[in-house]
Amino acid sequence: MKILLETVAAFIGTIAFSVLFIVPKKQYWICGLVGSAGWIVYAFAALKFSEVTASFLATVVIVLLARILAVIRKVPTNVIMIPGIFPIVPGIGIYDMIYNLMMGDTVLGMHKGLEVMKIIGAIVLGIIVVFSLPNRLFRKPKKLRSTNFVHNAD
Amino acid sequence: MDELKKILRLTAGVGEMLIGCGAEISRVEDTMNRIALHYGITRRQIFIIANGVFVNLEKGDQAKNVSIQHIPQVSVDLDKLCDINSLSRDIEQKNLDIDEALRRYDEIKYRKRINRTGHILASGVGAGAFCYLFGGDPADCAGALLMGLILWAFFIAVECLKLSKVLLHIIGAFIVTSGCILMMRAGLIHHLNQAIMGAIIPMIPGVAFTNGIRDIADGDYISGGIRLLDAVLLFICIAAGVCIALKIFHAGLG
Repeated sequence: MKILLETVAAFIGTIAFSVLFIVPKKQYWICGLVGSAGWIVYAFAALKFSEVTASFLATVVIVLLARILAVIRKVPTNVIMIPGIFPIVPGIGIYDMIYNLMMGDTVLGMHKGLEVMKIIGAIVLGIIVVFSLPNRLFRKPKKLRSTNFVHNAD
Repeated sequence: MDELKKILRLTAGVGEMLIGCGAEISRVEDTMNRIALHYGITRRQIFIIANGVFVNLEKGDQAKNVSIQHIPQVSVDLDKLCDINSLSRDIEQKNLDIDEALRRYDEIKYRKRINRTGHILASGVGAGAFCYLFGGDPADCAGALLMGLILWAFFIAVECLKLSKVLLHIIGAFIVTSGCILMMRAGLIHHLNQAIMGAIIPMIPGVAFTNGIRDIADGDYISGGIRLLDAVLLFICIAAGVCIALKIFHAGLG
């Protein structure tokens, strides 16, 4: 039940970011779907694995979905990926790190900071992994390939 | 204007706009190359970094044109990105001639339609939703929503002053944190951390960060480095704003 509510929140939050980044109106709900899909993966993976692994898995799913949907909707991948990735930003971890460092509790602050660094590292790794998959995996089967072939002829 | 000049203007302009509205370097390079190639420029040198475009086009033996453009500040506009993307697709698939392409380019460039009310609302709703994701209860979400609205209304109110991003982020974070602390004191919200973090989320430099990673993954280390540095700098500014507010309230009223 909690995960369901959180997924709705992720959906709404992602759409809010789509508005802030001026995503075309037609793509709002796509961004929302990608964001909530990422959150579902994150929430279920976090039950079984660490937060770092969960962040990695969620990022991979988000970026994969973004690349696939970008081809279908004929928009750049960034349009879907950037709002979609926001729900897994480790906000509270970052806050705890800053708060503790500022309040003079350096040990706890560094501890939280390393956690955050690991999560951010996982997100970075997830993005890089999916983007190193070759482009042709994401091409449309027939029609687009013929035109792409002409483009790349030179 | 002879044809090569027009092609140069289109190619360089498209590159400039793409970088400005939040595209990764490899896409910019690809789009510019395709446009130049479509108009028959086979000898071309294009070099792009995160804040500049260098284009050199040659046609036959007769003409040679160079364009160097500096791109000052990035304001994210993914709608423009989509429009340029479909313009470049149309150029190739529908064989637009250069004048038609330039006309559509100008149309995209000079279109202003930032929906300010929509942005304020989106900032508020986003802050509320993310506050819930961070584990806040409904009261915290309402508080974060309010601060999100105030935050973006502030950004729009001081837009005309043309303050630097650094200052804007510090002040923004300060306002949000002070507001949350005051609401906490008044007993309106129950979890300070979640409310502050939720309300700050609209300022997080997500585009610069993601694009930076993408550029580095593509091997464009300079551009990726510039963008990541930008993201880190803004992040530190936000942190500074939060710290200042927390310190003041701790020292003065705690």
